[in-house]
Amino acid sequence: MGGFLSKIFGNKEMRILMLGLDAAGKTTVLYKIKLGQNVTTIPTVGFNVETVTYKNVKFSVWDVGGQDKIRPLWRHYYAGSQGLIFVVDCADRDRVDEARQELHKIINDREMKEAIILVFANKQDLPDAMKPHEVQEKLGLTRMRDRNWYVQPACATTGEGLFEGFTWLMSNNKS
Amino acid sequence: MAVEGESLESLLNKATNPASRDEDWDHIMAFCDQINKELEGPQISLPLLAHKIQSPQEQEALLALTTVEACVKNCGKLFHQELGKFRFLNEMIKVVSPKYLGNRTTMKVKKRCIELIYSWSRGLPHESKVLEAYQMLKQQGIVKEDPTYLDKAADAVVPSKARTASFEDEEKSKLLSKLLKSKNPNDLQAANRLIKNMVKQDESRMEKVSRRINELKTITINVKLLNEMVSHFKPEASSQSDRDMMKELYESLEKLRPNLFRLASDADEKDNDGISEILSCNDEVMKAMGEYKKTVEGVSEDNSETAKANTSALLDLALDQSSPSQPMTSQSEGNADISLILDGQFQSLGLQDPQPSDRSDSLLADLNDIFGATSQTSSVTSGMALPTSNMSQPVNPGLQMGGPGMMLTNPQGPVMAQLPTQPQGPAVLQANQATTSMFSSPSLLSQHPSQMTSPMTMGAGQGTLPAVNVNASAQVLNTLASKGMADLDLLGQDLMQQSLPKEAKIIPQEVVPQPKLTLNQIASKGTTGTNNTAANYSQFGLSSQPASVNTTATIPTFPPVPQVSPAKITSQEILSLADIFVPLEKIQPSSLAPVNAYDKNGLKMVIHCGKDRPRDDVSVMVVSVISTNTNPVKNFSFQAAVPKVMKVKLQPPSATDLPAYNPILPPAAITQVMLFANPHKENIRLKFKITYVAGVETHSDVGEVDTFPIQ
Repeated sequence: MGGFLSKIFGNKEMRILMLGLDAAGKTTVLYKIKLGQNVTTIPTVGFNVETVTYKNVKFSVWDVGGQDKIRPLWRHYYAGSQGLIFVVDCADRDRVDEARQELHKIINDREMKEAIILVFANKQDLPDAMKPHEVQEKLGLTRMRDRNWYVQPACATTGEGLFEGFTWLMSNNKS
Repeated sequence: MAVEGESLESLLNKATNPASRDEDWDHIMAFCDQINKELEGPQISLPLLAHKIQSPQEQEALLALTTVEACVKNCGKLFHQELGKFRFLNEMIKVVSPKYLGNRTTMKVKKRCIELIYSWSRGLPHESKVLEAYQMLKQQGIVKEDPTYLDKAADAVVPSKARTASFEDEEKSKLLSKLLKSKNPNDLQAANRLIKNMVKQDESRMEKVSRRINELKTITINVKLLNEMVSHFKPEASSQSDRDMMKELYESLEKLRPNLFRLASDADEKDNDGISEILSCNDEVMKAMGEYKKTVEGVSEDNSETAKANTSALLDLALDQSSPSQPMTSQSEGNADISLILDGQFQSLGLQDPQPSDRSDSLLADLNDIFGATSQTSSVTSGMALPTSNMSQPVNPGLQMGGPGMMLTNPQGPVMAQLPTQPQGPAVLQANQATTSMFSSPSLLSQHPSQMTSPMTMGAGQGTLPAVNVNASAQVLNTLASKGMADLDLLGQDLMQQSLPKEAKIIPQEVVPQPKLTLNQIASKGTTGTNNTAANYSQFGLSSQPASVNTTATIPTFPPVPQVSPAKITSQEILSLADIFVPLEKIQPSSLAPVNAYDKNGLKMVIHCGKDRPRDDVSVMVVSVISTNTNPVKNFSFQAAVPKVMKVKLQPPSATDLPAYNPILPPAAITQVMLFANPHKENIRLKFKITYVAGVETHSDVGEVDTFPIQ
């Protein structure tokens, strides 16, 4: 039945890994997408995984804690991820360099070579938040030609930009 | 992506292509990878990098610097080693030094160079030459001040090492990836739990380490201070307040030493560095305390020798998992109280008699019988004190060498038996057990209006020792009770044999019997030594000495701390502050002006006086600390010392850390309640020491306040 339906509607599945520095807003993004509402989050130790169906695509989104001491565990989630959502706190200018380093570490991993890269330039509602093009510069994406990446301005608390981001993921999914 | 298999040189050319406006991370990372792949990657790459860094083209130089930094982060130890050689560092220095290329290089490149050298000097502590190079630049005035905002990045290199240590557990990592690949939701939950546990373990480990560092720091600071004061000490010239301060320091060290034992027993078995750190700290403490004893109190060298023996004892102790000895002070006039207090204290030490009470009661009764008859006259106190002390004394390797032992002073006849009571190991347990029972027998002590002035230090390890031991000792006591004094004698011998042979080192004093005597013999000798007729225990019951006989029996192994110092006598008059606790909320500020005690590094300490007095002789003050430092302040600690005629007690502080000052938010504060007992209404003189870490720098300051508006 499921197979039949998915044939009709072209249901697809996509494994998405969502990473970023601590307090970037990953968990908030996840539950805003999943539940459509704001949840109060605490720093994630470990991970959250939810399936979100959007426009007939079943995304299984892995939101992994970003505290620096558990970042070494990120590599365990790489395998099989078709897309990376990298969430950046645009108001945290001090750590954008750290974010850049982490991002490049992830996307240069052998297991992530095939993943498409969506950057949520999150917290756009905050004053003095970095604009998408600034984020793009500072993350060292501008000159990265061999990868499919996209910077989506977003505000996880209001939900702005989130679905646009997922739409991009969906339409750029290779398989 | 960069083509694989390119040479380092061509990769670097691409990575530092001056035409590119931005870092080309593909090529930079490819360059790093290639270094890791090639056998002599670091050796080949660094000269190439040095060449690029010296490029007259600003962009190329900057990109080269970025590449070096990327390599430092990604290419591991071999690269660090190569980077830490003067061969490369000199090239970096040339860029900034006006003697070489300094006049040609742009500010931006210079700045970046200095930042990098600085961050390496901090992040790569093993490469000492980097620090050397940096300091040289500083000396030459090329570097005016440390680049500040880079601290975070520099530190980030260090934790990444610590991080891998705890998370690179092969087994866990395999299990984790297995669980994460599973489709079963239970497995995912298990994975989450696993991560949480790993983090928790890591946190508790870090917490332990940071606690250790703090405690060791406090101790080292105290040691340093004491050493300094002792080295400047001249018996004729030094003032009383200096002596007080030293005494204070000595006592605080004495109190802090048990923490070392605890730290050692807490320490991770694999954490050799930590343990050796603790041990060397203990060495320092012993040395400082010995030095103090020798110079200031004039106690002979013997003690410090014992001290050395003790240092090795720490390790044993730690491995035995005995907990620390706890210094405690009890003061009481009522004799019934003594036994009560002792009971309580022994219980708090985990010394409760494991036997059913009736059994121990009868045991005590037996002991009572033995001693009861003798306890009529004051002189017998010495008899009582002797066996007791004898039981614990021989087994004491004198952990707290030269430290004030336990003093039993009888007001009627100055019978003084002073003994350090530090049990150790299983033998100790028995001794303690015996001592406990003796002490906890109210009738035994209640006969003597004796005053106990301790710092009495007892090993508190019993709680953790196997129950077998406890039972064994209970049995010893049991037989002891049934067979009476003769067995007590045997027990005494037993205990002595188990003790460390350290008596030889100690100079016997005056009337002292031979150290290796058994309890029984000592008991008799002690009394004969003071012209009493009691020849043996059986005569104890018969011998009723006149109260006028003044006996001074000093236990053989007692280190010759000769007299009770006058300071000690006065301190007896001050009631203890131990049972007073004033919650901060209850304190009403008085109208008196606060005292500014400290203002440095953006840290301001103000002492406010409270309005009410919890007791007539006690005044309440609140120490509050506000930081306007732009760095967060951590590990703040405030220590206070007052002249001997008064007492001070510090309640726990509200916090030890202050966030970085933010001019927009109201500054956070640390408050700490301080109680003064000052029955003589003297002018309060407060010496204090504060230590804290602001940013990365540790500060330690001492100060004095003697302008308190109240008494």
